[in-house]
Amino acid sequence: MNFLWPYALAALIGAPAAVLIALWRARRREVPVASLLLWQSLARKLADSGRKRRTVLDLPLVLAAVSALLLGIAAAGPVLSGAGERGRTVLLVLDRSASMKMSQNGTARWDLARREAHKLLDELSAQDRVYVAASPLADPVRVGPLGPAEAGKLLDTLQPTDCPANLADDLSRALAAAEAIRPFSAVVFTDDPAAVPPEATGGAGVIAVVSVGGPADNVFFTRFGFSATAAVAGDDACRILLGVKNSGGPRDVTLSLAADDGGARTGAPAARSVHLDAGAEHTEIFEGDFAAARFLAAKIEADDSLAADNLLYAVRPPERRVRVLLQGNDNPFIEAALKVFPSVEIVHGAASAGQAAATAGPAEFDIVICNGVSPGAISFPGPVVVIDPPETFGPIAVGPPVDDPKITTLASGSILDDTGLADARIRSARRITVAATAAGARVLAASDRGPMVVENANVICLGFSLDRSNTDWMLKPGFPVFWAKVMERLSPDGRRGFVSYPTGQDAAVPPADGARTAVRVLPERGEQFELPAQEESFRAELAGLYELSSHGQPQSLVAFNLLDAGESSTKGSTGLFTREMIKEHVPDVGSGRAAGRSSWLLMNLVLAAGVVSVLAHWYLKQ
Amino acid sequence: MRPLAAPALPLAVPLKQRMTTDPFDTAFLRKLELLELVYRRLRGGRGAGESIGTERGGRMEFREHRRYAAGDDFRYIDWNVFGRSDSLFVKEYAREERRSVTVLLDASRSMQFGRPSKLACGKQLAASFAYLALVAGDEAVVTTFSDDLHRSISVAGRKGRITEVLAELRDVRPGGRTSIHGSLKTLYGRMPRRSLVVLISDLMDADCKAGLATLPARGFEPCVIQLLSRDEVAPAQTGRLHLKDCETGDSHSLWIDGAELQEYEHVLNEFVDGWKAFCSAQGIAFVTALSDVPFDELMLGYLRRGGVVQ
Repeated sequence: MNFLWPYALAALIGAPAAVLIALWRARRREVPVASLLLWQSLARKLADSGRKRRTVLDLPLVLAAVSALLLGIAAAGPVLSGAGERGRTVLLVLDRSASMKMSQNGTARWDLARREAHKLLDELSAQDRVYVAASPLADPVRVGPLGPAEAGKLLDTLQPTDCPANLADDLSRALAAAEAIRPFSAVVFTDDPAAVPPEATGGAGVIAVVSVGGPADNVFFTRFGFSATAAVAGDDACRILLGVKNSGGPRDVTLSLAADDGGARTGAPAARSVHLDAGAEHTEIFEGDFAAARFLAAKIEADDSLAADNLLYAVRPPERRVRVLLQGNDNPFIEAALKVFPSVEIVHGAASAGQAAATAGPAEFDIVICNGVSPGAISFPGPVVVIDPPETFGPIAVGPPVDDPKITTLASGSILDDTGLADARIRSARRITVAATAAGARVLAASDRGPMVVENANVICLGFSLDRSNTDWMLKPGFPVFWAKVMERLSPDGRRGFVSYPTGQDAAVPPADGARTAVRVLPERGEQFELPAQEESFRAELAGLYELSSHGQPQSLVAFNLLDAGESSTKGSTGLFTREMIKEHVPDVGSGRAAGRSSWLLMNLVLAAGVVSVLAHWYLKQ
Repeated sequence: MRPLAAPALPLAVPLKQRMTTDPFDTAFLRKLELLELVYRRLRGGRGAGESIGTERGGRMEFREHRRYAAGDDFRYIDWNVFGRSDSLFVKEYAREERRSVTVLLDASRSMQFGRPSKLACGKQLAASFAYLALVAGDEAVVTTFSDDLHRSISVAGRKGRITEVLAELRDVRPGGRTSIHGSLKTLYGRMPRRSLVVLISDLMDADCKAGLATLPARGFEPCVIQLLSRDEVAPAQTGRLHLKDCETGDSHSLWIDGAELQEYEHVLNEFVDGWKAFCSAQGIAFVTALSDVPFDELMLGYLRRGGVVQ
């Protein structure tokens, strides 16, 4: 139940006031009288009649309190929730997508839409109720009910976003939520009337679509790509691909790419002038060493109608900590090779043979190394390196040891490339074979005595011990490369890439150990806010670079970009609001009068109950 | 009817006092004169010294002739009439005597209640009775009492002497407890026999009926005027009250509300009806009145009903 005049609920204070008055009256007061002669007779009569002692909270008092309550509620104008209020009920849906920021002739589409919405509100009366929904929607689907004046104030506080439009879904959600306030009339203000699903117009509410805007004269990014970079292979060159499109007339634009470190070895940020014909698309590739860059910024310098899609950011993802489980015998050469990577953490497992390394779950470890022991059943998705297994495991069979094997074959393009194994001297090795039927099984290295290194899915099995007395491979420069390639299997796309999120999508927030994560917008726009503690993600409605920090220390950067060709090229139309539209789509029948009748009935019922209560109180007091 | 003239009575009371709490202000005196006119009209124009008594003695005046009856005193046969009419008629004479009107005004503490107070109303009534007694040529005795007699004044002769009564009454202040029986016992010896005794009181005295019952037997013509205040008839206070008797200091707690007030009304009616029944049985004139009823209305009502003033 809602109230038309909720301020009148202040009259409910009459109920406790009645009780207080009763308590005040109930206090003992000394009253001088001429004589107790008559009063004592009265007391005797009352005692003889057996009348009980009066209580403070008697029926008249209860009736007085009930009267105050009912009359207060009646004065507040109770109306049935769901049935709406007296007058018409209008659901305003405003398109807040990035295209609404486009401006023509100095006027942004958003301002135009808001002006049209104000025109609609001006046509409504004070008794009409307004619900406001915006797309893309924030958590609250709708705000209301509001009076037209309040709704106007709310409109003035809304701002467009850099997010792509999701008008169809958001409108469906808003209409579904509005089912509770039927009957209603919905009016959508958008620059993309085609996005309003036709089936919605035949739904619950009568829908009018007010379209705003004009032809899109815009140059925008269509692609922001990065080539993978080897982690330790010495190839630090990175190629950045920028795709642009011109939805306006022919023009010359300047594309630039900059990194926060200035591009390290390649020097100054690159800027290139490009001529774009009407409707033309263009791809530009920049190359440089951005190994030390925390983020990249690509920019289109053009005088167009939308600025949000002229600037892109991409940030380097935070270093990932790699946990390695070393089962079996300790080996200082393996550990030294792994510790080249600062993010690696080595955990020593049980040394006894036969204990399954696979007992370690993927949530705990990224790489499992079994040195001198055979793993049990393997259900581990990450790389498993088995060194000198004493016995057969899985599809991999272990044969008897052979002396002085000479490596004769190395599979090209395998993990053993550039590892120096071919030049290593090996005193003793076991013959390792793998069933040909096993998926992904292949021999990576073979000697004149048989296969020595095999690969089966994620398992790499070395048939020789990595003891110093058995081989000198650990002393070769290629030995750490082998482990680097094992590490690289964790991120096949390359650990040195850049990432960004589309606006409106959730970005992961690194754990902050219970602290709240502070978000600062870069470059400094004076915007700063805090996320709730333990928040795992956040969503930005505006494109840009966001710095996340906890405990006062910067933790990571997150980039949000508007990369939506449809949004950047929405043309819009000029179907503006007319007064006839309100007569046609927001009729003064049905919604207002039906709801008004039921609400009026409720109000009168409460009022009548209050009056009856007052009369009963008066009667009892007589 | 003779038009009302300016007050002929002396106004010895200061103006300020008359305008505030003086019960004997100019309006009161005007009403007294009006009362006198009504009184004279009701008495058929007879003036002072025209009260009718039944006692022999005093100055004898011819009253009327009547036929002789066996046993009549021969000395009263009018022989002149017998000579002219040849029938025996005897002359009848009446004794002209000065009667006495005794007003007993209760001045106990309970009489201070009411607006105006019962005592103020009682003073006006007492003064009225005294004035009319002077107009009739009778003696007026005004006595105030509570648990004992307070003060008393007796006047007779010209009506201007009412000022002495007013001056006396003006100084009366409420005090003491009501004791009608005790006061009457003291008064029996002082009151002139066969006088009219007017008792003005709220009768809030449980033991006073025995004293009143003896008055007719002693040859007095008693009249009881019960004065009650508006608050006593219709109490306005409700809730949990701690009632305190102004005379005794006793107290009693009661919850008073609509139902209790209704019951109180019954108790009051029983109280007044009890007094009516008692007075009727004893041949005592009884009137009950509210203190806020103008005294002249009260007196005129009595006079027109042939009440206590004859």
